[in-house]
Amino acid sequence: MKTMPPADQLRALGYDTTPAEIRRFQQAYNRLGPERLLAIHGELDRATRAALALAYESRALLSIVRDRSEAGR
Amino acid sequence: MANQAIQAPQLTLVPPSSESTPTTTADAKAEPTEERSTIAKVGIGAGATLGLGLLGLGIYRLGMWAGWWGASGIVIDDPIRPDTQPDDAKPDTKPKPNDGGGGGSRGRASGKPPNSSGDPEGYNTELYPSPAPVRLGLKLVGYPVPYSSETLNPNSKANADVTRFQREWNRVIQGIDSGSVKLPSSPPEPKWVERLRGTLDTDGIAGKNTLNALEIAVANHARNLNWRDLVKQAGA
Repeated sequence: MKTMPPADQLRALGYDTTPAEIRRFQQAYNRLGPERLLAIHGELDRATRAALALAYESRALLSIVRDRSEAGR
Repeated sequence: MANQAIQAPQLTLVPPSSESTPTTTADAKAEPTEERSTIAKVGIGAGATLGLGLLGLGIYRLGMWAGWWGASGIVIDDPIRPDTQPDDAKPDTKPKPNDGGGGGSRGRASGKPPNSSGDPEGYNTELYPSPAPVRLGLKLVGYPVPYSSETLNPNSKANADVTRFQREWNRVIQGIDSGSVKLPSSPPEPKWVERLRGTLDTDGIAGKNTLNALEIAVANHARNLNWRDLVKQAGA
């Protein structure tokens, strides 16, 4: 399967590529209860890239959750 | 001639008693008016009681159909349930796009959960391209699987959390049918509430039917209701 670059995955998930946005992704990812938590440092390190790939695979499901929070439910 | 007409209902409606049955033609002629009156009263009484009973039953059934007795839009009462075969007797191979499992008068605990996406693969491949979103879906509705890319069923081994979801799904669906689980009457997205139907094998395998059920549980949890509340109501 062709892998999308991490920056594109971030954008597809609704984040920008700035350190602040990467930190926001890392915090949101940790709330999903992964086996290993990400360090919150705002950098696209190896663990964050792996987490991005996982979250990108789940993007359709995550969009359902995002719809919910946008609706204030 | 008159006596024949009188005696006919005595034979068909009321069993003759030894006291009132005339033993001779003379006896029959001697008390014609009183016999006729008693039999007629009993016959009319029985007929009126039967008629009232049937009328009452008819009104009750009409009320059930029309929702006069406070029933919600949930289908919980249908004695005609021809599809009662075991879970895996019928493979879920035919996609039913957006059918919501049908809106007819059948109970919900029959057949399999609908394939909401209509994906020809038999489940939503866009939502579940890999094990990660399956795990995430389970987590979102309260099953503590780790969020990772690992399969839930290595070597086709049953997963305890998947089994628990399958069991609780079945309890919720059966609870809707029995009335112990209450669904919102005006949910934001009623189509997902309608799709709460069908039962699962409790085999711990995250197969197509289970993924379809999980999609419905997650969508409802995100938009209409809390899955854990339904499970609690079902007593699962």
